[in-house]
Amino acid sequence: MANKSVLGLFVDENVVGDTLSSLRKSGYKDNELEVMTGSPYPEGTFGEAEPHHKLFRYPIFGAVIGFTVALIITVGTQLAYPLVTGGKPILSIPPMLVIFYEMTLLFSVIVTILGALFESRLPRIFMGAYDERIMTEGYIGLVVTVSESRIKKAEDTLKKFGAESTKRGWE
Amino acid sequence: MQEHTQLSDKEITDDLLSPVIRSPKWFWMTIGSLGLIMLLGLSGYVWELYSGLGVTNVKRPVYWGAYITNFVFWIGISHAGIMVSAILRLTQAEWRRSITRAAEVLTLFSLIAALSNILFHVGRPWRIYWITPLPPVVIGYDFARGIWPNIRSPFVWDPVAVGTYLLSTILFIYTCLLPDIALVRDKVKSKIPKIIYSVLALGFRGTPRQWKIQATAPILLSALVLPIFVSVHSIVSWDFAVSIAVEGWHSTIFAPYFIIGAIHSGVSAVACLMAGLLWLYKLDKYIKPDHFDAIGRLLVIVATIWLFTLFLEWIFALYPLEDPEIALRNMQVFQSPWNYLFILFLFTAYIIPVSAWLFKNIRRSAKWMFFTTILVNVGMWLERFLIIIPGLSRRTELSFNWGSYSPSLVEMGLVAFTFAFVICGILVFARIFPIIPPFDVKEGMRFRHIIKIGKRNISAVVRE
Amino acid sequence: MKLEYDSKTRKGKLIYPEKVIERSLGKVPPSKDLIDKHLHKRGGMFRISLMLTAIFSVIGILGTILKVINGFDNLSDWSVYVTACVFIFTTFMGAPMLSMATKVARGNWSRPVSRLSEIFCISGIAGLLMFLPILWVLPSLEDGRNTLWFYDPGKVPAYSPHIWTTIVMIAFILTALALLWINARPDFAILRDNSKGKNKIYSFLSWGWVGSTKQWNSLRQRVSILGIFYFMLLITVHFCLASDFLMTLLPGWIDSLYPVTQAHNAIQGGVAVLIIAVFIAWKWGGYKQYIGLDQFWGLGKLLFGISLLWVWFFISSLMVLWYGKKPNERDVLQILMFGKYLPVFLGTIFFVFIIPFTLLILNNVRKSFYGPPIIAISVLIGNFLDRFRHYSSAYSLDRTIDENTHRFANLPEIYVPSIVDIMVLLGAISLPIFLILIISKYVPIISLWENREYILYGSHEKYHHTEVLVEGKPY
Repeated sequence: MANKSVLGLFVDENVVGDTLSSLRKSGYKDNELEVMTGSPYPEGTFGEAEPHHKLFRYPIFGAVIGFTVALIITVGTQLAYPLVTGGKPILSIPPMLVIFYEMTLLFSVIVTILGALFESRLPRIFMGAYDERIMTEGYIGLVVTVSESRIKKAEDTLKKFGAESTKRGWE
Repeated sequence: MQEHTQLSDKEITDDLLSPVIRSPKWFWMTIGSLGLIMLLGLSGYVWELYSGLGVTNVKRPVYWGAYITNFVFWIGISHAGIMVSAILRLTQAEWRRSITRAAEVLTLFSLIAALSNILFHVGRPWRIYWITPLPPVVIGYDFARGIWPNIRSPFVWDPVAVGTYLLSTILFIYTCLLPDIALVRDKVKSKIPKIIYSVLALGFRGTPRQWKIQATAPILLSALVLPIFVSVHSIVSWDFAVSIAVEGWHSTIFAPYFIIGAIHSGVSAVACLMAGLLWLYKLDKYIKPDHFDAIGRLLVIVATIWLFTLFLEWIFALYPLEDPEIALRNMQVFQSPWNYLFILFLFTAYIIPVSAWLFKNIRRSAKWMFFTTILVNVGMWLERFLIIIPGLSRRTELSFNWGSYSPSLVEMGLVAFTFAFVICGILVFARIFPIIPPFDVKEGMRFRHIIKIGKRNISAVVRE
Repeated sequence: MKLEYDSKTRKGKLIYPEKVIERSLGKVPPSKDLIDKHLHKRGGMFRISLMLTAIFSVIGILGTILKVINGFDNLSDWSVYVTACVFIFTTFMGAPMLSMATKVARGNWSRPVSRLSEIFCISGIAGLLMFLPILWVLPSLEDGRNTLWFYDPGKVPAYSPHIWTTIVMIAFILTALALLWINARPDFAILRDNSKGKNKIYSFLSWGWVGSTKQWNSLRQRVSILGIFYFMLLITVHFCLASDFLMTLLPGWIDSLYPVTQAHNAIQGGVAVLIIAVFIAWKWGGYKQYIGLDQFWGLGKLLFGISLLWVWFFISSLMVLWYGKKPNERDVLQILMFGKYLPVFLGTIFFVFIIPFTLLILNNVRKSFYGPPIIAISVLIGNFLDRFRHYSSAYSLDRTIDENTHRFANLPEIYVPSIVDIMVLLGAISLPIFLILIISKYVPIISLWENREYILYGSHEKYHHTEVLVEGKPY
């Protein structure tokens, strides 16, 4: 679907909040509205929709993968070359614990990072409607992403609420 | 944290990004001289590669010398970086904001320095892939190898643990760096850096969802990295402790003893690094005496716990009243040159710094903290030296002669190389990425409040 | 959302929005209500538990007398007694650590539970009473056993472990009691000015507290200095108990980490009993509005971290001893873990590590009212099994050495407690609880002044389109 987006830049947090609630009242849905800031704000500062994520599940997946890998490596290499060294029997548990532990954590970390990227919807190849001043100067950006027919009205609303400048982009 | 300078977003961006946008005046000079030291060290290494390990003074029975000491030392330093960052993140300490990144970067480069010591130490470093369990299909068939790595040997645990730690550290730093890369992307003007930063930033835009993940992921990762951090130095300590061949090594306290020692030397290194950054980049708006005060107080506790573990190690070594063990301890404390080193170690690692940190004025002074923490690290290097060398140089059941050891010129050069490498690495990192996270500092400014009680203004923070 | 509480004038009632309720320290600012609650007559439940613990304590004292009559010569006869005594030190006496640690770290979340943790200091008296007979049980150094203390026949007394441990223990308990009193002194003053009947006791206990700036400053200093002393003495007590009252009785057990492990166990057990105490105060004590989810969450997180640390200590010991494989190390592993005591060992691991780890890793369990207390009970069971595994095997050890293998000829069987042992056990658990119940009649179990102080520093404020909790840290 050919969706267009329009960005309005604001300075005041309250104005963004008011704009957001008025846009919502006039029928824009939560997934069509997005706030962009250069640094974190307390959750719900602009009355934006609370983002839900499942990041806490990823480490467990990673742990399962890592444990399996460790099991294959430790058991496999010992059985492939069953030589008793230092009086330590083949498949003795204490040394295997070490490898289990490290691999489990390693894969947890990797999968968590992948999860963090996925949950932040990254990587994003095209920036769409975006302005550099958001990051560098602390402007607050409000993006409305709608079909082409409604874009004009959205831009007008943003301007009405005092957006310093608006910018169009495509999704 | 009572001292505070309220700054606007733009000021913070300009302040913290200035070393990234333009090299400071001293930059190339410093990098040049550090590079010279590194070059000298590396030329020694080339010599070692050419003529074999004979150019070092490592010989029977002292098989482990300055390289292994240095390895344990840098592993120790690497610990505090992540520990400081992870613990402060988990406890949501407000003063973490300006020091986490520097601490993590210290971890990264000291880990690489530690690993390079292993390369220096082994006779045939080109066979380093033998420790991986990769099948011949992947690495090509190697007739000399023939067997799989023996996972019952602590020397296989080491690369697994250190590799895990290195990889997680890199990923951890990168995740926390994303918003700042996006900031640099938007700030730089020249074309090619902009493209590189744009690729690295992965299109980060600062939506609430992205910020929420940015707040959650580091905490989650901290919780995952902390157990890795504990395991790495435990495993390094087990390289020593699980063997019974050398007196003074076979002790169960070794894992906690090494960890606490690592925290002691590493947190000191973080304080030292902070003072350095403060002077080099003029960051006095971001690094305050309060930071040094907090670290100083933490160090007093850590150092005292470390001393207690040292005491336990000693008392339980003497408790069975076995002659070799008593002789070893006797040698460490009463025989030259170990006795001088031992006294120097005790004074530099504990007595001088801790008695200095008891005074508030010293804790709050960057200069004093810089010098005392350097002392700690001198002491902690000696500690590792005193664990490794005297134990090995005694005649034991498996090695039949007495030995002694002092590092050769090549070894000293390569030890100097690691120090130059870590400093250089941090400076280069600070040239490419902001060493103090601007987004975190901005959040800190925003989350800051003042509660008025009577005539007193009390600084307060927003808790979400 | 309407705020009836005005953070500027600090008047009115705090009404918390749903989202931040778990972060709050309670719904109502501590006020007259809290004082009334403390001075109010205790309910039937309280009296029944007081009676029960009193009866069990008497039974325990009877059991001890029976033991003493039986004589001190047979070490194995005393193994459960010693286990029970050390159990007091590894659980009840570890609980005050929480209050000390959070005060040094300046945490705000623990304010409602810090007094509950300090009140456990009183159980040291029970521990000391139980410890005294053990002085006669422990053999002197004349029998040739190793010791950590210097022993030179004729010059140094053969009872130096006994002397040092007693001194350290008394210092430890005195420090604990001093901490309890110093922390409660402002509360005694509040009660002195608000109660009618018990005026005299409180004016004596408050010892002239008027709340001058000087007094507050000295209170803070004393608490932090004594708190550090408390921590150091805790470690020293466990060092003494674990080394001379345990490890030297099991020849060949050279484990420099064990004293630390036991001290760590004390902190773990301390957090566990504290969670149970907080739960009781929340559920039946009538303090529902002062203890929030935040406290259970914080304690749950703490218990989780401590349990992980415990297993690290344990593995650190095991790895070195298992890899060493000297005859004495094999013996120690056989006696304490993999031999006859295997079921007890597996029970320890299960209750102290596996249950806390698998359950507390879930945030839903950590952040609930019922999760942490259930896990705390499991930790306490495991803690007892751990003490039993170590102390009873060391005390019932037959020290004959097989000449061919250089190992112990007979490994100890699992010690089966007799009826007298069970009497002692009941008493050992009841006597500290009895003392705590008694003292809770005089010391308010929710700190009045710490919660009053928090009203100054914590408030809910509007932040653009949302609501946030603002917390101040004054020093």
